[in-house]
Amino acid sequence: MTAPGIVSAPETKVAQHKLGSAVAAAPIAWLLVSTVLVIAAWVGYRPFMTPADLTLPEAAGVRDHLEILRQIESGVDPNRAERVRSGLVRPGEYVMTPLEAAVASGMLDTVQFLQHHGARVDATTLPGLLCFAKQQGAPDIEAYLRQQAPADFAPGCKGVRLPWTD
Amino acid sequence: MQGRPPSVDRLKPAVLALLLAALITLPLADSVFRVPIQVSDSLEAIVIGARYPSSWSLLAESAQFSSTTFRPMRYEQARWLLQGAEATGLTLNTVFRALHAALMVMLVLLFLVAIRVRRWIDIAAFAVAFPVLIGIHTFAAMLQEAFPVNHFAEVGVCALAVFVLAQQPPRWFFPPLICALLAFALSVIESGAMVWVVAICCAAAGMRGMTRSSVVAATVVLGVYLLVRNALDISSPGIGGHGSGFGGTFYSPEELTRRFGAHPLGFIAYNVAGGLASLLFSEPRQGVYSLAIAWKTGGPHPVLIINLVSSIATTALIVWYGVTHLRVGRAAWSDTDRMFVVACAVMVVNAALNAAYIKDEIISVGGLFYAVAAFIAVRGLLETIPQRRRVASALITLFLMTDAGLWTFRAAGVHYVLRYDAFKTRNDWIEVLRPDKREDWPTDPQELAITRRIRDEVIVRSVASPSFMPRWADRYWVE
Repeated sequence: MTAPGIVSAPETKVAQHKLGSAVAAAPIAWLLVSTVLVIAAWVGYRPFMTPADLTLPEAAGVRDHLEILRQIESGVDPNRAERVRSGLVRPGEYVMTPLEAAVASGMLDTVQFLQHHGARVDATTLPGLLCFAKQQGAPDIEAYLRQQAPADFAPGCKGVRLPWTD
Repeated sequence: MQGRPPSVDRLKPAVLALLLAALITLPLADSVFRVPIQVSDSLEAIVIGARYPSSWSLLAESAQFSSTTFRPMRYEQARWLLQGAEATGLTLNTVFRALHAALMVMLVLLFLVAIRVRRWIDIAAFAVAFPVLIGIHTFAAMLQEAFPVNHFAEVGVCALAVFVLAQQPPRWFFPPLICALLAFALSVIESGAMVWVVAICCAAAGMRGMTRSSVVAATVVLGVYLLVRNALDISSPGIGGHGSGFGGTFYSPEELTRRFGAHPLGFIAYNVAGGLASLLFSEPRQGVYSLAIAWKTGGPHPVLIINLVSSIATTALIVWYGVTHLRVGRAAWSDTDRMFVVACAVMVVNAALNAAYIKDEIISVGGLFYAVAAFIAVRGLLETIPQRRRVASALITLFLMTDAGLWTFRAAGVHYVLRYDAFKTRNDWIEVLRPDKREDWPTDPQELAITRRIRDEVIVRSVASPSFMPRWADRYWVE
């Protein structure tokens, strides 16, 4: 005779199976998600991976220096403006140069890296970049860019076109 | 079941466990494989491995490379893998990283063999213990190891292999095999001594496969190793040999020497206790208590809470099992009890290896055995269910579901940690062979060729930028 509330012998196996299934719920859920991701990768959809069509400005915007190097070494122009997907440096999608993307992200080392690998910081690009840096609240980039400017350079945002409108 | 041998019934849970483990492990192996060859600890060893005219000359010379380490197989293995890449035409990254991934798969397989999933109730316990194995911070630290071949994983494989052998009836080849595993582990890294510790613990707990001859032979191997180190004038790194944490701060080697060099005993005790606490409660990490930091800064990160709660719950289970099953005395212990004792003893001894500094990798063997102990404790709890009232059964189920859920979340985060690591590791190559620093380039043509080859391979290797991964992941998975 089984005491009230205690699982009886014939019920034991069924109870253990139910219990086992309940305890294993989380690992099984992980397994399912994992399997879905593997299948998705097989059919070409790779969430959480850097897209294969990453542009140079996008690589600059996400501080992927080796990707910047790879693209420049494979012949991509480090001054060419290209698409930057929404959410990477700004909420919207915009067309900008790699330097502009680096300034928009507020990353001085990327600005220096790009300049070092052929991105132009000169009289044509400097006013815009300085203006972006000021607007972005990136004083370190602003100071660095000012050091690049000739002595008679008078910075100002008048007439400078920003790559974004939001 | 009538008409079928018991082995057939055992097969189904074992196959199911293998299937579950494979489906979870293989994507993880992919994440391990995606991490490129590291610059920090790998490049130099690979270059050295290629520099010598023969394996023997490399072996002889490597004994003199350092005054605090004796790791001849570190360079030999790098050399063999270089030769393997030449012979097969595969890239160096493929060959080296495939071995990292293979070692992880071997660890999982040995864990499966060690815990012996035979009944359906074992599957439920496995569902909790397997995420513990993958999710414990020492496992991720081991997978992130920067050496060309993952020496900590190799030690883990050797330690688990000895543990598996100790569960079997004794065979004539066990002593030489155990000695070979120990000698190999000691030749890659000092933590290889954990293989000897496992052998001794198995013998002390009375596991049938660990005979006196195995213990004596393994002890002789360890003794010879220590004599060789002594003859080569190789000392162990003391305090200040490596950075480590104290309280809420991480100190550099110089700071540690200044602070604790004159009176090291307190710091040693802190490190040993901290190593054990790290295994049991996931705190501290590298000697630093994130709780202390959270106390100062307010609001701990969610990752800290998740790690603490899951570890405390599992450690409580392990303590419960020990208290309820081991008090009958050594002679009355079951085989499972003996396995449990070994697992706990290995954790304690492994913590002692942190005497000079705390590092997650050093306690990685302890992390593997923590998962073994967790499996035994969870199964022990599940076996009590038929004798319990329904309410108690429901509460236990809820407790285990929550614990398994938290550990599964931790384990899933290993993918994120590894992908983040792959991104950082790939970007480390920026500093190698910089066109504007040609004076830093290797002067030896062979060294330059290998460095350039690995760098070129790494550049074209696709990795995931953290910017394309979930933004919340840092707070929940990275400490």
